[in-house]
Amino acid sequence: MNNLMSRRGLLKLSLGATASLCLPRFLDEELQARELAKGDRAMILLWMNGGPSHLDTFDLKPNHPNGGEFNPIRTSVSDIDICEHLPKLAKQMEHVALLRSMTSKEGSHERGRYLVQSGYLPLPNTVHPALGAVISDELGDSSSAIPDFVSVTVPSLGAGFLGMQHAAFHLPNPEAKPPNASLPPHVNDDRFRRRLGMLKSLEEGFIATRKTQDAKSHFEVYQQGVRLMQAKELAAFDLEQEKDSVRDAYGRTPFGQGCLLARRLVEVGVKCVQVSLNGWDTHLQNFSANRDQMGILDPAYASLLNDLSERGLLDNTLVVCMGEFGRTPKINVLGGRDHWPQTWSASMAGAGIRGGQVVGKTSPDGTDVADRPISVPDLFATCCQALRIDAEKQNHTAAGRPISIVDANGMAVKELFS
Amino acid sequence: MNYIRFHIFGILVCLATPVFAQNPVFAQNTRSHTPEAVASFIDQQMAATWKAERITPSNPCLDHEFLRRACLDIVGVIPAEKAVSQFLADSKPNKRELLVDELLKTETYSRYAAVTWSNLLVGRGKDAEALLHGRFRDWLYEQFRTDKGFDQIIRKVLTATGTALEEPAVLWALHHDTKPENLTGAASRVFLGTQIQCAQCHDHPFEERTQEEFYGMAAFFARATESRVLFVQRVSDTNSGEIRLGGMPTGKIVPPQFTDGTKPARSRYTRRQQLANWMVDPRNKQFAKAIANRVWSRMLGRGLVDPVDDFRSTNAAVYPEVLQRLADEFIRSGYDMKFLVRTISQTRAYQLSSRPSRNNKDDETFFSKAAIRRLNPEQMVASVVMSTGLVNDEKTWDNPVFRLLLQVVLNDFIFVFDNMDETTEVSEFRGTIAQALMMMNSKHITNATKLNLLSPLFRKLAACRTVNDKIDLLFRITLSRSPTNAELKRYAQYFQGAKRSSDQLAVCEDLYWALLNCNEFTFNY
Repeated sequence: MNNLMSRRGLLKLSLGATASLCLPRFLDEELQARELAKGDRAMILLWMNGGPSHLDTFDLKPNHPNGGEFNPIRTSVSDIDICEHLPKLAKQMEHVALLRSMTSKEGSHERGRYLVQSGYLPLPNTVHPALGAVISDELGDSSSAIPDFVSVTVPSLGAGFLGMQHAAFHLPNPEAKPPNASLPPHVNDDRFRRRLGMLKSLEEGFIATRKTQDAKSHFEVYQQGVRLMQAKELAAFDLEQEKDSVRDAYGRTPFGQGCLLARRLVEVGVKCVQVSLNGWDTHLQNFSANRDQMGILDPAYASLLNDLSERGLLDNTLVVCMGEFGRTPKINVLGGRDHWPQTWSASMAGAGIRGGQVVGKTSPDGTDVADRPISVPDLFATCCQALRIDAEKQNHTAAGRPISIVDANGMAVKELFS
Repeated sequence: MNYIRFHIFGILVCLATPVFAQNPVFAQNTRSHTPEAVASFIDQQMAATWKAERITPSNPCLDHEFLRRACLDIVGVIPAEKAVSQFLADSKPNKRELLVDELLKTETYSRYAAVTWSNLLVGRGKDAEALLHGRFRDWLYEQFRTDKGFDQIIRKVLTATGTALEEPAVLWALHHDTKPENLTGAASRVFLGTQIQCAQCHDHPFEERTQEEFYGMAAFFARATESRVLFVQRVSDTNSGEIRLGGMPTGKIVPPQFTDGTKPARSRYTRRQQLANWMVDPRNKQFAKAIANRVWSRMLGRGLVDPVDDFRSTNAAVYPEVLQRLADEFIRSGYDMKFLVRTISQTRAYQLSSRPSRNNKDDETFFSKAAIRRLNPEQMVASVVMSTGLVNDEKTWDNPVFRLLLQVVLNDFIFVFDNMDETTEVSEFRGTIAQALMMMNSKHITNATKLNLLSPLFRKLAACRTVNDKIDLLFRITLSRSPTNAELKRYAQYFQGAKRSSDQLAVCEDLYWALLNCNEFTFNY
């Protein structure tokens, strides 16, 4: 930041500006695609929006009335069973660690989402960043042509006090190109060059008289925008480049295609992708709804793990699947399950997490944690360890209040790394 | 209108205090409480500090700069092109003062005040919830339009009962889940300017704030309850309910206690009413200070206490006497929001240029130059609309269909401009890439800048006889100023190669696009 205030910084900025705003074919030399370098960690969060039923997905209770309609099936790991409606994922279980003893206290969607996406309870005056924003801050590269944090389908929690530059670049539809990243049809390259030329001189006039960081930053962001419009990495957003068979394998759903997109984005250096699947809020007709949900989740999650591991990306990419809470073990009169933060399941894979294991367990009726409770801060500390982020590092809010990346109570789940 | 209001106020004062009315000292006092007098006091305080700090303040801002700034701050939109030429041609020495008076009389002022306070109190609202927010904004609009004292508005917000169908003001409680801890945090932050909620979990290590203080205030909200039938929520006050220290079931019951340490007397009022009575009592200067500081911050880009919600002994006001005086006069005016705006707009600090002087480039403390602030989404959308020439009178802004359509556009902008946090006013000057892309390529900006036979701007440009006239027009509708000679020359060059009228039109479109995208348009400076 500060070097922009210096004369040298200003000079650099204006030279950069000349290059980026005046050339139509823009900056090829600067656009060395950020291939995923060895050791670079990234995260894909599969967000199960609404709170998935743990007893119907990863923590079945076949011999208890709370267990419901579904049967367990064997997986690629001999002593781990999951739901029969996740057959493809079952074959990838050697990559996956199940955390069956997640527990929290926030039973409303909004507060639960805030907690499980930021690692902190909501406070009236402090807005905590989503984990993806932290990752953008810690692992991202501010000079890259593509954003470090992308959210697909449902928007992620914001960047809070870390600032807009770390907020997720949101893509409502994974099959559409990023919004507004291409020129309107009536504006050809010549006109765009003319526009940028005019813009540049207007910007410089204002910067020259005001000399403030804010006026310069405006210009900087426009340069980033233009870089993105012409970035080679933009091709990563084009799912048409994948074979039909690959696209089919993930499932032709927004979530499935979102997972495929997540793999493609991580490949070009995006540090965090959140892909969300709506529809887990199964207050009624829990079982038919869950069958449908798993029909979407199973091919997407399984193909993602398979693809990442085949491409050698799973060693450095953390995949986490969870929602804001679990659901009541007792089935209600409408055949549904309600909100249940006391017990829920999360699953993790990649980035040094030892797959093929289960950590923690719930009581036979599924209502309580029977062994090794794991809190949300514990989970966040675990993610940080996998991503090689210092969980104890403190950031400061606008009011100067120090806040550590993970709440001080959070302890990484050691078993996952052994 | 203004005269009449003043007159009515005068009559009320006479009725209430007949002895003072006949007292010549009082008459003189009245004169010393006008916006001019208060602004002049503020100017003296600041000038003395600038001198002591050896800061040369920036020059006064130019007329077009004042016009744009005042319009954005008071009515939330850049001036219409006509208003620019009128204001520049006006030779009255007090035209800036008159402009502010005119702006404060408009419905647009009330509408914009409602939007800004509503955003702060309850956020912008999403999806179905947004309808309730619309009702809340309309309610606030009515309060500002009818010149309700700000104390009365906040009293209502703090105490409202009923369903959102009958009483839009309950949205404030509903927005905070009617939870004592949330309401306490929000009320102290906005109405007292303090971050008391830090004490929710622990005593503040350096300040005199304690958990007891937090829960003492929370106790006033302990009996507010929320009930719900289908989609209709109701807020009511019950006769029982206590708050326990630390929010723990085992904690001791904390009795209600105001943040100044006093306790409420036994009374027939509900606990929330007791809190509201104390809050807006003229003896509680902290309320007036917090509000005056917020209005100052909105108009000058930074609070006298900054951040605006962090009043504490180790974060003192930069000009304590100025804040004290503003608060006192705000109370004296009957918590008249327009009085605050009028007063602040007449200060020298408000009317300074944002161009630095020879030695104040780095001053971020003493208000010796105008701050540069990014337009908020509401200002941005309204200003783009204004530039198109689509709106010719105030009635259009108020047309319900127009407002509905505008809201649709606004939602798109809010989505990319403001996905950080709705309730804080932390300005994030960097903007985002998504925002830049939105301004460069979105259908809204494309539709605004594509000139066809039906667009008002097309017709105006066609009526321009020379290229210079066209450039001048495009500058005035966007930047509210005429181009400099150098600018005229520079942009005229683009027209030289454009022989056909369609080519000329394309150059106009491109320049219009560049003007809407440039930093000067994006900032209130």
